[in-house]
Amino acid sequence: MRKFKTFFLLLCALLLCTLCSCSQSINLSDRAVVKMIYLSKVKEAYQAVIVIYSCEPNADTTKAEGIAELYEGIGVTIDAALDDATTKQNRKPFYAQNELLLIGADLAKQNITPVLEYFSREEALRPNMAIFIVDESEQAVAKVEENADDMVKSLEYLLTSKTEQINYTTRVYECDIAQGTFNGILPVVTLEKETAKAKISGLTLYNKGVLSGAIAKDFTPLAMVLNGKARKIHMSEQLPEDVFVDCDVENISLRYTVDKNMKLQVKVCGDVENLVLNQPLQNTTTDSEKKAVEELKQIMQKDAAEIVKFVYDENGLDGFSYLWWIRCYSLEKSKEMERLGKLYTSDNIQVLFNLNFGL
Amino acid sequence: MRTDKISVKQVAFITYIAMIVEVFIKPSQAVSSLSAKSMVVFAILDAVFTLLICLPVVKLLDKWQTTTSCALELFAAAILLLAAVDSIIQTEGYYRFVSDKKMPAVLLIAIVLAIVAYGATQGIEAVARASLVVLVIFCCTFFLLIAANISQFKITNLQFEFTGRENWAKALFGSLSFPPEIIIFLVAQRVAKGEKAKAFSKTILTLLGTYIVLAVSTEMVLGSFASLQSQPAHTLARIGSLSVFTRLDAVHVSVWLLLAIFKITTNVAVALTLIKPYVPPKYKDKLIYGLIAALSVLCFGCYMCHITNMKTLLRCATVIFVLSIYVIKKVRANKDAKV
Repeated sequence: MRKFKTFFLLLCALLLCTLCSCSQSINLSDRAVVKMIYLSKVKEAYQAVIVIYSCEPNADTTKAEGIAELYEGIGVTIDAALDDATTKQNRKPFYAQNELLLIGADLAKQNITPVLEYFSREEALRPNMAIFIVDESEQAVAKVEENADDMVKSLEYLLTSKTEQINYTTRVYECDIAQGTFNGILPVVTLEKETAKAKISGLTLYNKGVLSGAIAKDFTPLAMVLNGKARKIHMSEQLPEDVFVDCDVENISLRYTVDKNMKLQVKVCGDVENLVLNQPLQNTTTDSEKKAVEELKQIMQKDAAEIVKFVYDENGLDGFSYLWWIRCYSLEKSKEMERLGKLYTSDNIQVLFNLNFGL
Repeated sequence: MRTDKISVKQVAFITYIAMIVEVFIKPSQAVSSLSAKSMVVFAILDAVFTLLICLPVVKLLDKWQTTTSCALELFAAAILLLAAVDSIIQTEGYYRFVSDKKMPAVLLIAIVLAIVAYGATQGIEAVARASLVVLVIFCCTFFLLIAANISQFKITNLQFEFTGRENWAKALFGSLSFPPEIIIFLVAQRVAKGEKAKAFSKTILTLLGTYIVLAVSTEMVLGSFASLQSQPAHTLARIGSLSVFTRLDAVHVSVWLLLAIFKITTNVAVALTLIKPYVPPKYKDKLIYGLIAALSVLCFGCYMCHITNMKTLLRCATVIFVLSIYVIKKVRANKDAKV
């Protein structure tokens, strides 16, 4: 009986070898590790470009490196375009490492909701892929093709960059498409051919899936502050007295308060560091710096008010989730305001800056 | 069964693990359009309702320390075995959902049943002893899952309104109300020492706490995106990153499988205990083979007929079982008083 039990257990152990991880495993060299997807529109069809890293077997592990390759596909649907791109090479695509989704300018100008819906499906790719809008379509593929490896590394640096303390990324799961249309903000990148680098060049605003506006590059860091995604920004401004001020605003935090009239006050607090003036504003250096900070505050407040006008408008766009704080104060009153058409107006939002200097 | 060695704490552990499997895989149980606020309110209502009905029964059973009746015990065993079948089908579905290479259902069910057969023959004592290890592993994974997602928490993702009105009824009878695993506690506590009512309350309240943490965390990270996911907790594991680990789904899947197998083993072990006294002595040793054969037939039957969810049926059966114990015990108490 004991021998039979041992034999039975051994047989069971052998049967485990028939499990998929043993019988149907795929070698790493047979995998095409997708590192980036670029999606755009060519006439009515989707154009998909995938950047694949193939691992070449190497006896010396220190010399084993991934080689970036580009494959392009066209299809009526996103699925078909991606399939077309992957069938141009003979390895099995592996999407689990992919964190980059680039959307071409042509596609970005159209209703973007179907694209986000596609990538939101559970059986699709990673839900935490970062989405970037590329500010051009025609040259984008050529630019990536020329130096794909550096371009991917540069885009990945944007995801992990901690030095600027600004988080520009919008992940797939952060896109609000539950109501059937996308409302929100996506970052725009410029792909620089000479340096093979990707740089943030603005923000695009989507309302009901359609491109409704853009925030220019100069305003982008401040917009990220108001979006709660920046802890530190660099400011370089010209004051009314033709004096140039250059400084860092660090330890940024936001405080939200709603008053009885349902007006939201967003207080941006931060410490001014490394302040440099090209010429004095007052007799003493301290007075000059204090005045510069005060004037800088006024400029930032004015710029912030302009940004708020873009991201919180009468069409129901609420890019920085300001409505949440208003509803938090009184859900009934906010519903009443919405019914009267008084809710979505930038007059309900006031941004104030509290900049500490020399403390 | 070496009954004298089980503590009430161990009984609470095995009950908690058996109940948490469902919560861990999907907090909303197919009611994904509900906001966390609705889910929490319904979960609290469910927990209170469950405690109100079950606590008197737990106290009654504690007092008497006797079995209920043959029919009821076999009824309880049937509920537990059906719950085991439901869990096996769910485990197979979940495993298929997370796998790149789909393993044949027959193979997975056969492997799960082989492990369950081995575990169940060891008896409740062995299962109860293993519960602490499983619980520690689960707690570590749970905290890891939350810690890995803390940086993604956004308070503005929380919804104020009671959304998904059309799913309220489903939610009220679907989250924490009368899971069949209550029977595990009611049966196993008969042979355990300690404050049973207190242990039962703590089990339900801890389960409620876990549910609330998971539901709120899911909404704070995923916001409205959660409503598009059939497995939000799995999505949290895919998103979460801790240090160099940029995804934790493999950990989530393996721990969930461990919990699911442990739960099925507990169900079968308790069912075995319930049925054994009514089986002729010469067949007692072979009873487990009979149960596993029955489970195999039921699993493949359900799989072939695409029966993937028996929860409502099982919850109703559990309510009937609990109320029946209460009625029988009350009637017996009245008779004893007259005598």
